[in-house]
Amino acid sequence: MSLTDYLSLYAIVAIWGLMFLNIFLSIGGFIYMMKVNKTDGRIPLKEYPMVSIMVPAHNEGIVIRRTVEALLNFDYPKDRYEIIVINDNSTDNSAEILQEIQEENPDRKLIAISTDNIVGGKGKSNALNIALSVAQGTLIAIYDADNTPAPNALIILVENLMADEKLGAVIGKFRTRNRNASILTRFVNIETLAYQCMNQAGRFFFFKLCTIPGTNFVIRRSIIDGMGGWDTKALSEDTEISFRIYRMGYYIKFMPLAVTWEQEPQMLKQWFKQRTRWAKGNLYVLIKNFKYVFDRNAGPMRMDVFYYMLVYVLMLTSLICSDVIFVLGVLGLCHSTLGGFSTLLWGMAILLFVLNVMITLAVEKNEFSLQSALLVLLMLFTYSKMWVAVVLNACYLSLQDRIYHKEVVWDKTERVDESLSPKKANKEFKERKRER
Amino acid sequence: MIRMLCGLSKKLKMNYSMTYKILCFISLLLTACVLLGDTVYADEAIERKAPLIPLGDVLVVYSDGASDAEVSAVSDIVEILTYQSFQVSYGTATQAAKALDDFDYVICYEVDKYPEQLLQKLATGQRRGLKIFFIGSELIQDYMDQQTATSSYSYITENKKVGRVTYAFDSASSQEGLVKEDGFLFFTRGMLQESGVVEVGEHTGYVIANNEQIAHMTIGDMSNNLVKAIFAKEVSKWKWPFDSEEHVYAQYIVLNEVYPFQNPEKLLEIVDLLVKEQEPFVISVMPVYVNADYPAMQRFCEILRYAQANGGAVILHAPLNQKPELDSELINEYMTIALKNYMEQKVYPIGIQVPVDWMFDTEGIEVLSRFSTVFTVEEEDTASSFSEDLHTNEVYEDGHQWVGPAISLDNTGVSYTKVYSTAVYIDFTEEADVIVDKIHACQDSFVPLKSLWDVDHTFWSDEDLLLYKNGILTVNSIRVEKAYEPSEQEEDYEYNRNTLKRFSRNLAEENRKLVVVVVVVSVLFVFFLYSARHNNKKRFFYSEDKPEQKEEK
Repeated sequence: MSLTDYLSLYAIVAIWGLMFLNIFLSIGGFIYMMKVNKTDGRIPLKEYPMVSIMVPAHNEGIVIRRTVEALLNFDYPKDRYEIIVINDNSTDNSAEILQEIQEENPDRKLIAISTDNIVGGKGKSNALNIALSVAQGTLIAIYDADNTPAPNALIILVENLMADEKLGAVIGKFRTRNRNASILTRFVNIETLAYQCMNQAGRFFFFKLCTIPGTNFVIRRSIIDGMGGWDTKALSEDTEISFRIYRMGYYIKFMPLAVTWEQEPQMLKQWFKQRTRWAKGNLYVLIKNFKYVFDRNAGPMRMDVFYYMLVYVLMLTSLICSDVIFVLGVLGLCHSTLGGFSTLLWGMAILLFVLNVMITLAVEKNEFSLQSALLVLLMLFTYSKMWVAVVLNACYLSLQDRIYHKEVVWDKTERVDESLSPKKANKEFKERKRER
Repeated sequence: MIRMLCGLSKKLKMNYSMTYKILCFISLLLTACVLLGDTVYADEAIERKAPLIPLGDVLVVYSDGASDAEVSAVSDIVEILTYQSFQVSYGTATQAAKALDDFDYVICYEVDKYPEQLLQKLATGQRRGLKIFFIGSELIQDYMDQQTATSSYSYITENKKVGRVTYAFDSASSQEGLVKEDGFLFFTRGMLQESGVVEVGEHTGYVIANNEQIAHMTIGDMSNNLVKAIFAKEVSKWKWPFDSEEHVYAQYIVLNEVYPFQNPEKLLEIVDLLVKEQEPFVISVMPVYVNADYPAMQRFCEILRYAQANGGAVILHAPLNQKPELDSELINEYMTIALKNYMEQKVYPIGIQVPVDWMFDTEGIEVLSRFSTVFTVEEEDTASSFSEDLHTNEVYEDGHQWVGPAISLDNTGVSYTKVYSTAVYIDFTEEADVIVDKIHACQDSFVPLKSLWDVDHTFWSDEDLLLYKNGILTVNSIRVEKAYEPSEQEEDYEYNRNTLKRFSRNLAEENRKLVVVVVVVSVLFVFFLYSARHNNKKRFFYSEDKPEQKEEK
């Protein structure tokens, strides 16, 4: 057997192994989603707890009004929640907009904390820690500054959290608000829906495991206090906090009926930057928590760390191997002598991938169509390859940070003005960037 | 030289500095001469530019701007002439007109677009004894018209495009077939000999006619096997310099492309039949690069040794090329491994079998140059094809013993020509009965069968040199015998496979299981899709769910 054979075999086993894992999770996710869709997600309470909604915002002038107005519009007792917007070292007109909203809603508890580059500007975790210091709620809800949650999102999350003492947090579903802006946002839309059905709902259904997505979730204040706030070194504070919750003996619930709509990057550069940040953050958390794979007391977290390991190590290396072998094979530079190493194998993998993603779309309204199926097929050959590039870039940057002892910098995702047409919005976005 | 200059400088009372200046000057002068000299030679080289069409035994001329089909026919002509051991030159009418003076034999294939000069050159050539073989009607019609010859012809074109050809390849029987041409031209006077008959409607003419210097074949569709076979026979006769019959070449029964993993009982059965009937035969084996010691290979080689000792010969099929271009270095590397693997089992391949187009490819020619005996087979290899730019059959220079594929005119696949060595390829995957029928057809053919062991052979690889001369077989100068001695087969062969190797070996088996799993999962997913769609319709469109729908909006 040649090196090509060994690598081909590895790629086949790894890709099919991950494929079956995802199929398994999809089946669980599908059953869970169907079950939840039959309910309204509500578990009414006698008394509703005080909730502090925290919104970290850095130069979010374009989207902040829409977000805060959506938060003010929650179907939750008005006197039982406060909104804390951390206007973190912004240089745009966010402060003025927030002040305007405060003046328009004098009877509502809307706190806007503006920070300078000494106290603030150090990332999302730091901003959340600042907000936590003034928060009065027994529950903390987090929303990103580009979110427009549905009016019932908060009440569903809170009711579900209060219904079970073992629950540390309840997370909702996020959807793509600008899914028709570009082909990239269409891909992102499919990706987020598939991820939430497969990974969040599936893992929750089988193992009571899911990962906090960074927005649209409520968590007990006592847990945050117990863990000493957010880890300011973590770029993926959501994954980090999920692991910490598991270690404290709580579990996290996925409640897909609590929906928020968020703006996704509609340009490649913007997307690449955001995903690299996520991948870097996940790698940091993975390395930091890898020791728990061997810790018998780590509970379900062991499984989650292992899962992340599979995704990042196994999938990345197997995709690189298969792509390299494919390209070199086409160029005639190498070939595999494995018996049964056929196009049928790839054909079946593609078929299952498409079907797998399609069932995650089928549970949503207006997402299942032939166009979506074609997009999924296209994604396989384009978007998933970009994921490989993202992770490789993240690995390189993480290594660079480690070698040169660089400080973690929060590279914020730039927003676009959705009131403009996608073309104009992109143009305006580029001009704004150039001015900066 | 320096001493001489020093002596001279003393005589001339010059100091050393002056001497070295002179030395430097002379060096510069020499350098300039060398450089300028080079330039002069280069200019001369341009002046004495090599002719576009190199000299050869036969010049094949085809139309300017010939179609792909016409070029393909030319490649067939060059191929046939190569098997007949002729050095062939070829070019378009314009190219050939310039080179025609240097040739004694010219074949004009379906030439309809040509420069006026070509007719003049042909006429001049004919005066000096040039022999011309016209295929098709256009050029010969113009040529004869210009010559104001006394000959007359009939040209059948209108609604008469299909003709029935009858031609006798041997005295006992004749072959019939239909041919399609744009027109049929038959000379009614001036030809000394005629062969074959073409019936076009109520008209009847010859297939080929010739006089002392001109031969005319009225049909030229080389994609038609009958036409190709007629051409092969007639061109050999045309080129034969003596009055006697041409040299007779044999045909070889070849069990084609046999793999070690194929049914050994079936192979033994066929070999036994041929041995019993005392017929010579050839087995073309596929190259094996790895696991040459596995029981399947040992069993296979046991049968090959038995065949080898009883009139059978083994030839090696070239590695299957999977690259966009042939790479002689890589192919030779693989050939070396494959040849060694067979020779270690005392099986001695004495020839190579390659796709036909390899003879037109520089890299293919490089691979062939290591083998004296070459069998060609009609196989698709997109990496190589006939090149108009070569203008000659370069491979001729290596002096191979060619065995071309028999031009099949019936279901038996036997050869109908004996003007060059031919191979009757028998597909080993066919039913045993069919194979036996084909062997019997070969026995009944008028073309004789011959043993490959009756001819000398040689090849060299990166590591070995095989020589078969005067009935003595040597490998690396050590005499080897092809006598058969039964060997013991290991019953409990230890494959030494680890888990990974076992898994990879069973990958095809695993694939089958995977197909079942994929089908089951796909059906399940399709059911999920249906149920989700049904559920969504119920949630969003049925009347009882309207409030929820509003809410979502």
